[in-house]
Amino acid sequence: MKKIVPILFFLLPVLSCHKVEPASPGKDLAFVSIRAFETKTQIGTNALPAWSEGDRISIVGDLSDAPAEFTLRSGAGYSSASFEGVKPEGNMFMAYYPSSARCDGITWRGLLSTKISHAMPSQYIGTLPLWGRGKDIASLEVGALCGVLRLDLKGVGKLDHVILEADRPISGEYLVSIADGIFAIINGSHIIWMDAAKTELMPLKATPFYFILPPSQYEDLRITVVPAEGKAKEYILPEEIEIKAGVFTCISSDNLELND
Amino acid sequence: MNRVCQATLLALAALLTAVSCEKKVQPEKLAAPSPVLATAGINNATFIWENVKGAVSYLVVVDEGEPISVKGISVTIGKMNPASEHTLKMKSLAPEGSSEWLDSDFSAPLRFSTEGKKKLSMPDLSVSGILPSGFTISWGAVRNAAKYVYKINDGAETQTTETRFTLDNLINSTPYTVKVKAVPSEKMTEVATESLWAELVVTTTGPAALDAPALRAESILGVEITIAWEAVHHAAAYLCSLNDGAPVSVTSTFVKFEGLQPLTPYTVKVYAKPAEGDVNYSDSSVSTISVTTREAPSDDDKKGELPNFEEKPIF
Repeated sequence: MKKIVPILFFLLPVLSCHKVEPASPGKDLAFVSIRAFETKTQIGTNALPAWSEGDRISIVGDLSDAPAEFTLRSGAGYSSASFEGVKPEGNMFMAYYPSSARCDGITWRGLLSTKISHAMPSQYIGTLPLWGRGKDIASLEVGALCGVLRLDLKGVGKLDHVILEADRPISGEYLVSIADGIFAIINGSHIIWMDAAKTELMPLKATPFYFILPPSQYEDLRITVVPAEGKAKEYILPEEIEIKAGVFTCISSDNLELND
Repeated sequence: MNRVCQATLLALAALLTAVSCEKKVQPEKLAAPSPVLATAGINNATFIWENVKGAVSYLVVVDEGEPISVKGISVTIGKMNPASEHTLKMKSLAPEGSSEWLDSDFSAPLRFSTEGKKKLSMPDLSVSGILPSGFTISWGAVRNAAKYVYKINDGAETQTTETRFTLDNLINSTPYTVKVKAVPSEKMTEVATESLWAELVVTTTGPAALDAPALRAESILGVEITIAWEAVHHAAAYLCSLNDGAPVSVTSTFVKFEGLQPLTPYTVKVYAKPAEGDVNYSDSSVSTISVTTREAPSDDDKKGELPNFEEKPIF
């Protein structure tokens, strides 16, 4: 699940109709959809996270101790995809992403990176923790456990990096309760450092920067934009902001206060 | 006898060994859980912790109150006050009657606080209809707001349930600081507070000049001329002068000059004036028309006379 795809509503039915291939011998197919993001933005489009080639999810059954890993079979580029693996025992199934996270069958540990890169194409949002449960692995729906802050920056010249700093931990190791999807940062950092050495700002067209943030009410969110040459600019939010799981929150640098 | 003693000693040694072996399988104390705060709401908080091996349930104590028994690895504590501080401690519980495990000690108290009441979002102000005497401020409805309060230049506060208001009777070309805040509805005051003041500085425009009258010669005779024009919007009077003489004010849309010399060129100037106290408009520019009277007065000159109008010297 590597990028967020802004898609007009009328395209949605087309996207959910990709071809599903049968499972390999001895394997089962799980069909997993990502719940669409709610947007707190003026852009007027729907934003759907999409699965990527090589994605792996874990599925835990309520009668099994260990998670079973499922690998993307088809559906890369779509928000709904089929995954292949061995179905665990159970009547209720919990799916989570990324599957590389450590899991004891009851909790699952993962990492929200403190150091990230501003990737091109700019739709890339990083590894978004997803969780969901259902009675049938043939139709599981997972939702984001974090929110996404999209920062739209305008300006002139090449950047070096962007720092997002909060009044509480926003990156680091997290713990999730597999039964109910409760999410918490357990060994966290108050900053996210984004390498943006390959990014050049434009004066009229905003460049988006995506930050995956734990859901919380942030009272003091600061953004430092460090150019390749020249003085860094620190912006502060004029008022507190609530980041909700599964919600896209957009902020334009036009709405930020420059902290001289 | 020696054999009997030896056998007895061996039996004693075996018994002691057995007793010491029994001591080694004494139950072990469970590890204490390490809860972390997952989310804090206005009046609740949710905690999560890693599963402790051997534990069947957990005992959670908040603020030294009644213990809460939890079977899973998360708990939500409710009914707390906004922005209040609390402590939580907990321990792992062993299966009842377990010979293998003992309950853990309590974890170190974890301090946490609930979220404060949320401020409503600030109204997003915009201005329209800027005139010399006023303007209109409007904004989108703020979620959970029941009303709004606004003030001008930090003066008296005014309440409104609308999402716009219009100011008038202002001074032209003057900046005004407008502040508006959102106030939560009665049922939301438990969890929300007023927004911060949204602020906008609006400068009233200068007065707009009236359109200049478009003059036309309505009647030219030997000893008198009549100049007319279409009414100018927002004009209350027109000032008219002949050959730059003393202007006269008329409220009609024509002026008549009499007692003129035949075959003589005359210049008539007219400009429009707004009503007194109307700060939105200023005098128009001066319109000029040049006419030459006819050769001599004749009886025809008296035909079709326009009615008299009141002339009033201005200077």
